[in-house]
Amino acid sequence: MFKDVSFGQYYPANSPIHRMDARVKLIITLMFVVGIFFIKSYFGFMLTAALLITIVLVAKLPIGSVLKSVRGVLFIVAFTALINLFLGGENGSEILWSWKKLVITVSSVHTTIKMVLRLVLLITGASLLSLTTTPVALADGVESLLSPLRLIKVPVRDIAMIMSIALRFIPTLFEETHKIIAAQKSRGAAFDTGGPLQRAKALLPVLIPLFVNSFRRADELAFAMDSRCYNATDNRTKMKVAKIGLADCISSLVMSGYFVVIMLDRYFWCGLVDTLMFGGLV
Amino acid sequence: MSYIVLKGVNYSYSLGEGRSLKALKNLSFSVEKGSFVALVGMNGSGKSTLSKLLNGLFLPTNKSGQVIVDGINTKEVDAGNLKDGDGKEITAFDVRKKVGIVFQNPDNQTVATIVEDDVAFGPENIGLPREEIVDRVYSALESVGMMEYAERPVSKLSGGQKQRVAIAGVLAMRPDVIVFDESTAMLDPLGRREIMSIAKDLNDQGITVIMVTHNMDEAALADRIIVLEKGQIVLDGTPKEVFSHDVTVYGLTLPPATETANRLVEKGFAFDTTITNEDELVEGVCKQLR
Ligand SMILES: Nc1ncnc2c1ncn2[C@@H]1O[C@H](COP(=O)(O)OP(=O)(O)OP(=O)(O)O)[C@@H](O)[C@H]1O
Ligand SMILES: [Mg+2]
Repeated sequence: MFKDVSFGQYYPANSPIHRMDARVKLIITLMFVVGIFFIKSYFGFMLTAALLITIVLVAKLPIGSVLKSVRGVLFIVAFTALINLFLGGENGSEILWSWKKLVITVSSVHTTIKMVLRLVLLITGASLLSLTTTPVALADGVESLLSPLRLIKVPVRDIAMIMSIALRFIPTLFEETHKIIAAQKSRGAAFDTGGPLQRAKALLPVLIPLFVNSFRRADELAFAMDSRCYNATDNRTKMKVAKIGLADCISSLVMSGYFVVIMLDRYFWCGLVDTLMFGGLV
Repeated sequence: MSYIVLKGVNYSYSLGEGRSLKALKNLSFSVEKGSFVALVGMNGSGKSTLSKLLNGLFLPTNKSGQVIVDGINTKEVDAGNLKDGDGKEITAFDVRKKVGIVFQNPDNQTVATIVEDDVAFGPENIGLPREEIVDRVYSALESVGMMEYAERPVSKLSGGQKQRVAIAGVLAMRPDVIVFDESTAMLDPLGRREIMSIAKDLNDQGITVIMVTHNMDEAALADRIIVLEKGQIVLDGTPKEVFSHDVTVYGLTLPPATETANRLVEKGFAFDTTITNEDELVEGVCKQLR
């Protein structure tokens, strides 16, 4: 039940995308996430897919690790798809199928396809960030981008540290969850039978030891960090200093271009490209 | 020369409601620079508590108790009234730079996802310049034989490898003393041997090693064994001296070689019972056969 949740784990490779400044990657990802909600045409989705495929190829990521992150949210995608299929149509659209109050129309089919594309591309795009950036670099990036907040006394350094430790412990905690589930199963606990309520109840004997262990871990980790002189002051230095390079400039340009095309497509071309490409289908 | 000196140290854990548990009672001993000391004793005898006192994570809870590391009193450091030659304040960090601790569970002492980032954590904390950090990180990884794993995620390593990364993280601070608090306990025999041989190598390079362990074979490799029971030192001496006592009363076992020698004596052989390792045992048996 927890098998697919290892999504978005850093995948080490030697590529220009991996070497990019985490701050630039964060901003670009943010632009991407905002941009994808402006897309209304199939052309826009195709463009986005092409962009993501290019990034995956340049970053030398195996397709499997990218798809893994989608697998984790498959349920949510399927759920929204169903809702959209029956409720997402516009009035007056041609009816394809109906049964009592449930109707599927041409426009609801289109809405559904677009919804699924949007979610899948969104998750894929966001996971590319964590796949190509080490948690420490990511945390440093967040720290740097949020540093203006230090003026109003927000503990940005601590937040960044918390973030990188949280990311670091994700695999450890999942491994532990597996172990606890196996241990409880061997004592006769049933996780895969019964209704939703029963299943939720069955998780309690997993969550409690998990929490208790996490506190113990936190305690030990605090001693280990203290022994290694942890402090969140200005005295701290960094081994890896992020620098804006050629890859950062190129990708910023590409991304801005992408963003402009998306906006043009939405507000000026108004689906013209779709009509040209797909004819009467859309 | 004594590098660490403990004088009349007590340590009590407060259990709330005014109750407390005395974990260490009136401990006094010193550790010579460059020595290899094994700290043994039953579960709950106070070994981990003692380890944490050695680098100032804990302070003696009695007034007169003192822990002095390379001339620095950990209590005064905490009070903030020590100055070095240039008038700069000596801080707790100065003590922790001198005495590093490798803990038992490798999963709970790595801070970063990637090996080199984790090793860099300590040097980053003490504000070293970038080039110096890189230099230290790679030489530390080199000395534990983890160079080729520098850019790998720690979570994908074996237990022994994770523990080697943890040692590298401590080494990157260039400490004078390393305390291993049961650092081999969660490893398989091969992993144990690797960590022991790293500890030996470091000791040969002049680093003082304090090895907390339940494994008497490991303890027998030390120059000196300190046996703790209920927060007090009950035996302190070379492995030969310590294992000539009946250590089972302190909940310990004898090293297998010593045990074998004792049994041979029981069966009527004239055998040297002060041996502590297999080589000596083999030697003794050969002598009997000739
Ligand atoms: N955080 C704590 N709060 C209260 N009591 C504690 C705490 N940590 C340890 N103790 C108690 O202090 C005593 C010494 O514990 P310590 O962990 O130092 O023993 P140890 O020799 O390291 O044992 P082990 O071999 O199990 O690691 C024990 O009786 C233990 O129960
Ligand atoms: Mg202990």
